[in-house]
Amino acid sequence: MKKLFAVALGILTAIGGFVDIGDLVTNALVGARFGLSLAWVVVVGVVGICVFAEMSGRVAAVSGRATFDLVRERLGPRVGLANLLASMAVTLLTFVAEIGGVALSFELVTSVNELLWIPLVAAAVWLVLWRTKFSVIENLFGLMGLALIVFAVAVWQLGPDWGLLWHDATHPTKPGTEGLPTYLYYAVALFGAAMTPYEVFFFSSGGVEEGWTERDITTMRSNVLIGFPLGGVLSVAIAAASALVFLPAGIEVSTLAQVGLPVAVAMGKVGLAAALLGFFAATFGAACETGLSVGYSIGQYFGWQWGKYVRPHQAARFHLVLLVSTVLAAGVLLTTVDPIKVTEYSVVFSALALPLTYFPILVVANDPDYMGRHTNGRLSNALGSAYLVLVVVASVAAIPLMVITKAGM
Amino acid sequence: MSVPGGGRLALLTTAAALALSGCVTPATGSDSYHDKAVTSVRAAQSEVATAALTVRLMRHGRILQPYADETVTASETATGAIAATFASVQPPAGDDRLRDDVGSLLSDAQDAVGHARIAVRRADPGALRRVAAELASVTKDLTRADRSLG
Repeated sequence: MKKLFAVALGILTAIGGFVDIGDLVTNALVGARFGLSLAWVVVVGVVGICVFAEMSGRVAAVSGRATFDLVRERLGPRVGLANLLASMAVTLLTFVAEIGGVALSFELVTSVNELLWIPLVAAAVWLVLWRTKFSVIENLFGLMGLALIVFAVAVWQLGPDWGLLWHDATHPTKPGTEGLPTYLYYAVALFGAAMTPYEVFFFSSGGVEEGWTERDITTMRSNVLIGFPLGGVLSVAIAAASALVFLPAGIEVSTLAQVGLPVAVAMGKVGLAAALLGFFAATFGAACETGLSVGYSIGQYFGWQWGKYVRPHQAARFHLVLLVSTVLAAGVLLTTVDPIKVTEYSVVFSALALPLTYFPILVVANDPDYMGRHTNGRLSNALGSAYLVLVVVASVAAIPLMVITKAGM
Repeated sequence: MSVPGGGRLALLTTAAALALSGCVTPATGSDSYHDKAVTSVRAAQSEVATAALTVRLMRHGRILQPYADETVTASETATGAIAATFASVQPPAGDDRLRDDVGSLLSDAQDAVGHARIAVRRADPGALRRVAAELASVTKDLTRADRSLG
């Protein structure tokens, strides 16, 4: 019974914790402009994140060490440093976007300007990272994030032509009003949003925090293989709600406030309140995850004591990194940069950094010295290799597409 | 012509910075100016439609007031930025009429969204009804302009 509860809790938190500011904004924006013609990218991205999260979770469970703890040891300091710099830059940018997202969520409820919320939100995030148990961070915000199911209910309440929606999703065609480069640019952005590097940092390091062993592999797999795809369904629901309300009205999404409007159309104030709770949980939970991921990656590269499973004074440098990155994120946002723009760029730069994040996972997961009898099977290797090609293509295409389309304009 | 490594990097950086900054570039010809006019009209249409949807939700009691306020305020800021950006572009000779027509439409859009913000903050049913009609009228004008320009 206890095991069943752990599996159910893991799946629920995986669903609720799957969506972050990047998924919220990118899916709503894409739904408003392209309908469901890019839903296939979410499916491709979710399968990809499942493949690599399962690998990194397995590495953590078998070796007792996070994947990136092993990258430097297995691939040497140069590759380790390239991996650290690329993924950390993107994770830090995502951290900035998430804190901005929390501030925007509070602004939507209070009408108090987001800039006034930013120092308070940053302080709250740091306090949670410093004082709160890992399991509380993971479970509380993951469960609260389930409030985003309201988008799926809203789609149902809007009474769409399901046949037409299914046709749009399964017969992807570029809308006549959009150019091919713009379509591809948003495909790369959606792919980057679904496969954000911090998700695997957090997942594998979280496995170490929770003391996973080989016996936890089944639970870990059920979290990944059931929870993540259902989280992906939420992403598609956000895009579908946006497509149903905004596409016919010619509305383009450029603010977090617009993302919630379809829910208000379908369900009124109660639905909107649930969406706001979901916005807060998704952004605050992801702010904690990205903040921790920055600390994890630096701590693991330099071989410091890291993690929340030890007292803060035993991992002082790790906690110093968390403090410095939180202050840095707040400082960036206080320059009045638009958090939504930061989000849009973070998902594209995320695509740019994907090969440097995912290649080492594939290497470590195939090393019998670390993995023993749990090295990758044929299916994992086939999927991992195929996705490696895909992430290289997305990475190479990201910046040229950004320049050609003027960042999707 | 060969470009030294450092020079190539500088060129690429400059090109990327220009592309990413989204800055207003001067119209290089009538076609380019025309494209900017179409883009501005469509962007304004989106903001006016957002404000109209928010006002409709407010009239039917389906949205929280601070949320509606933030949505319409963001639309007002965006509409102002669209109008200012278009106005700052130097029109090619012979396109002054286009500048005046589109500028006037964008100004109307800015006014209507501004009235929406005032009505939403006051939560005044009468003002909301009037502003809904004003937004609908501006939407019609923008749609007509989009069709004739596009």
